[in-house]
Amino acid sequence: MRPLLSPLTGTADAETRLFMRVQAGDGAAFALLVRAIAAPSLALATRVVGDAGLAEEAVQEALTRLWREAARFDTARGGFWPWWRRILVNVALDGRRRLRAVVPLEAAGDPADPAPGPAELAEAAELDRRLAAAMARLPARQRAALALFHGEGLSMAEVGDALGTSAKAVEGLLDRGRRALKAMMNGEAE
Amino acid sequence: MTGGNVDDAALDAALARWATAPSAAGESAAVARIVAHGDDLASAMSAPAQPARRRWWPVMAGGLVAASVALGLLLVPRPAAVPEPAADPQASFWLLFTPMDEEMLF
Repeated sequence: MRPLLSPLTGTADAETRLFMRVQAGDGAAFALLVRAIAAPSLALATRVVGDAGLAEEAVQEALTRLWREAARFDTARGGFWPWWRRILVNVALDGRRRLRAVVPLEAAGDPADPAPGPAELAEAAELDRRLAAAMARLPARQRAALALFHGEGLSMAEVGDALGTSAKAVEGLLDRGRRALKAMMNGEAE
Repeated sequence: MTGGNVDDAALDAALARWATAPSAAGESAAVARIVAHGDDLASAMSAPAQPARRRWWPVMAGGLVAASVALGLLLVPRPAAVPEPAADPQASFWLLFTPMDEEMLF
């Protein structure tokens, strides 16, 4: 499995070079590119929409858009990943708005850290379930901002670039998202 | 976290776990389907769309038509103004009171 942070940090990378070949009509380069980006893209989309099926649809739709709009990509304005992230997040948010997906509690997954004892693990698992339930009720853009900031390790400016807004607005989204999550997890919000 | 309440530290920890949660069970199958979709795109279409070239000829044709109309309006001689006959102050009076045939019967 690829490292979580490196593919989405927007450096001049192999994917950008591959995509420049795609722009020239190289179908084989596109197939290679899809193999490189499929898993991290699916992970990002899943965090944004909170539903695996919806995330898969979003990635496929975003890939179609990526292929159709390849000619609009301009290397002078940044690498492949910021461009791809914008497309993917937009498609994912559109899909989430259409279907208003609800995250099943199982989607929270198991606790990642195996070091704590059984009591701590149980408490963490309970917390994760509450977080997943709260995430499902969070407004889509707040959730996307949290996914990009915490999930992909992007800066606020990079999150703003992906969401088409300013770093200041991202700060507000993250703050409101965190407060809403805490309130819901503490049972203060219905 | 105390008494079931979530504080900032507990939320941060939960968010970190959420951000690095292991893949769902069906993810590898989903990735395979995504890759297949990419292959379909790459093979079904000959090349990604090229940017639409700016079409200059409709603008040029419109400009030529407008210029022709303007030139025509300038060059076509206007008809000379027809001088109106000098007005006779009595003419309208006599026209009104010219006896008609029916009136002549009485």
